[in-house]
Amino acid sequence: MKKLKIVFAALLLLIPVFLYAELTGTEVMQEVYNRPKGNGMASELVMTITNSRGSVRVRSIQQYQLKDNGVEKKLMFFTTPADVKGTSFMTWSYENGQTDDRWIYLPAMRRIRRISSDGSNDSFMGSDFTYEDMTLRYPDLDRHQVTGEEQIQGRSYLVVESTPLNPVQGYLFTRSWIDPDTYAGIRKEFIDSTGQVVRRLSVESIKQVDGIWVVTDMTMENLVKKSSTRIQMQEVTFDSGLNDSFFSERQMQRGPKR
Amino acid sequence: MKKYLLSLLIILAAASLLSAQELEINGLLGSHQALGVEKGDFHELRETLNLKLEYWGEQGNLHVSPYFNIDPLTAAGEWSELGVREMYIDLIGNFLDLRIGKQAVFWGQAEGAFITDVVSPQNLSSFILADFEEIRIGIPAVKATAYFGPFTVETLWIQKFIPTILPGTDSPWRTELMPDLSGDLSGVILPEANLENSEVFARASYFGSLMTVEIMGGYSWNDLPVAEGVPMNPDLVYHRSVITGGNISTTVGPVGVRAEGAVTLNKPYSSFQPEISPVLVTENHHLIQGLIGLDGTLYDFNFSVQYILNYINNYNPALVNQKEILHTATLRIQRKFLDDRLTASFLSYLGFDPLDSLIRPEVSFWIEDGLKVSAGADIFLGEPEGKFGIYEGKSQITASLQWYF
Repeated sequence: MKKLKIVFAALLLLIPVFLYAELTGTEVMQEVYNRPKGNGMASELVMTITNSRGSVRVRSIQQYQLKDNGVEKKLMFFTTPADVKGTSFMTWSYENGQTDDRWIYLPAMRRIRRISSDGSNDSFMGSDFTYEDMTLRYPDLDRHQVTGEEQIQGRSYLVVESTPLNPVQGYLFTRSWIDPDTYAGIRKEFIDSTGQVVRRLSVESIKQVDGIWVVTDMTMENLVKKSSTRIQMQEVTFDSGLNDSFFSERQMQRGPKR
Repeated sequence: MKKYLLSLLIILAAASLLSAQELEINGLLGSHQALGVEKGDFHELRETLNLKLEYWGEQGNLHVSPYFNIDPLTAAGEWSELGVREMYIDLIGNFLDLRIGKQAVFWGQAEGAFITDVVSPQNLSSFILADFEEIRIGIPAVKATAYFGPFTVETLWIQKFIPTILPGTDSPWRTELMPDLSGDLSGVILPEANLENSEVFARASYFGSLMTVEIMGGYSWNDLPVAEGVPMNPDLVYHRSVITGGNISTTVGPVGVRAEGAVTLNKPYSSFQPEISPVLVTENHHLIQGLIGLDGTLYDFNFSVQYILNYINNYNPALVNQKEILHTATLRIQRKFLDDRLTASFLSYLGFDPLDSLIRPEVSFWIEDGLKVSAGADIFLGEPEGKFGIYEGKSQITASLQWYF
């Protein structure tokens, strides 16, 4: 009887493998891309940047997000510290794989500058996140492969390796740990051509807000520079009355909703 | 001095009274020093306080940005200055915004060049070395901005003409060729403040995924006067011109590309005509200006390069201190180190005929958030006939400490 229980338990553990075994890497990452993220999201981000000597800098950001007609629009306003206050950053990401559009507004210059998305792997405002990390990478830009399954804190996660079809600066491929139930990623590693993990993203907290799974706490470690950046998301709301016209040149200059 | 301090105290007291009602106060306290390399004389010993007060209501906001400068190098009795850079009310509608009051206007895509960015006059009392915001002078205006999806239409009515300020008679940046536009402007004939003498500008723009396009036009007074009459004691007279232009910006691969152009129709110039009396007369010529600029990042170096062309149509060699064609280039390179705490930058203006240059290397370090210390130099090189070469003996080393709050 005891043996039967063990076999039964083992079979139960294998169920997810059978369930997801048929999904290819591309299908998994497509599910990740398409998972419900809610619409009209507004949130406050606290970005804590810690350098190799332990020195800490904190930035507060007001963030808005809207997906409409296959275009995901995001607008971020830096609210503290005073030297970056008023800086805003807008991205339009396209579901059809079209190159992202990016703009930055620097209040000291009082001008909006269009930024090339070829610099996607440049640091985002001095943090360990890159500009690309701040948007969702379109799955067709990479070749994906499910390389296995791993238990983390008692939960099972699919491990997917994604190799860019066109070389990108900063890494050769990524390895992502995906929850097969929610299709939320909880960890991601960026690996260089020598096989070394150069950056690691860890999700510390994921919460359900209005039925949507939202990553509310994550840390990006730069294992080469020995620095890290933690982003904590607060005051998350959905359907916050945003419309397409909010994601505009006008709003970039005017600042966050008041 | 007492008057200034009292005004400042009144502004701060009013601010503190409003602070319970969502008033935002930000600002910058800075100390700037510049030392001439050739003579070891101080060019600048300035302390500056810039405040920005904003109050947000349901349908708009009010904005006041007072400043207070202390510079013991300016003439006796004038070493402190209190002013208001901008003071306006914004009324915000669904598709129409109104801005009423003293405001600085920033148009165009050029960096450090004024092609379509001609609405606000310039404070050139420190040549072109002042901070980006300090170089613009606020104007009394009513601005209406209408939004139609990706299209924006902006109209400006400037009630009173405000002229550009040039270096004062005691300034190291004053040259013999400059008209005296400092102080109380005595001897300068300014247009009367009436409806007929007001200025108008309009701009239409498209902001889209592929590109941003702007076209603009205006009927305004020229920011600098024309010398008329006798050379030793000319009349400085302002004239009006029509300007039209536009710009476009997009990205091509890894770089941002900007192009901007403008035509000033019948711009007035001073012409030396020895065969007639008086010898200085006004001649009108079309001025054509163009710029192309590239911005990007290469191996962690952020760069911007621009080429600027000025062309006077139907040029006459009798035009005083003017060239038919003027080529200028600018180069800005910047790199950040130590997790963005240290920034090294290099900015250069290069004139081609005659060959001259202004080179501005600078290193700045953020001691903590909001607190920045900088050291640099303004190096002038080249022929003394050039716009930059004329200051060859005025090269300086600079240092500043700035606290943003």
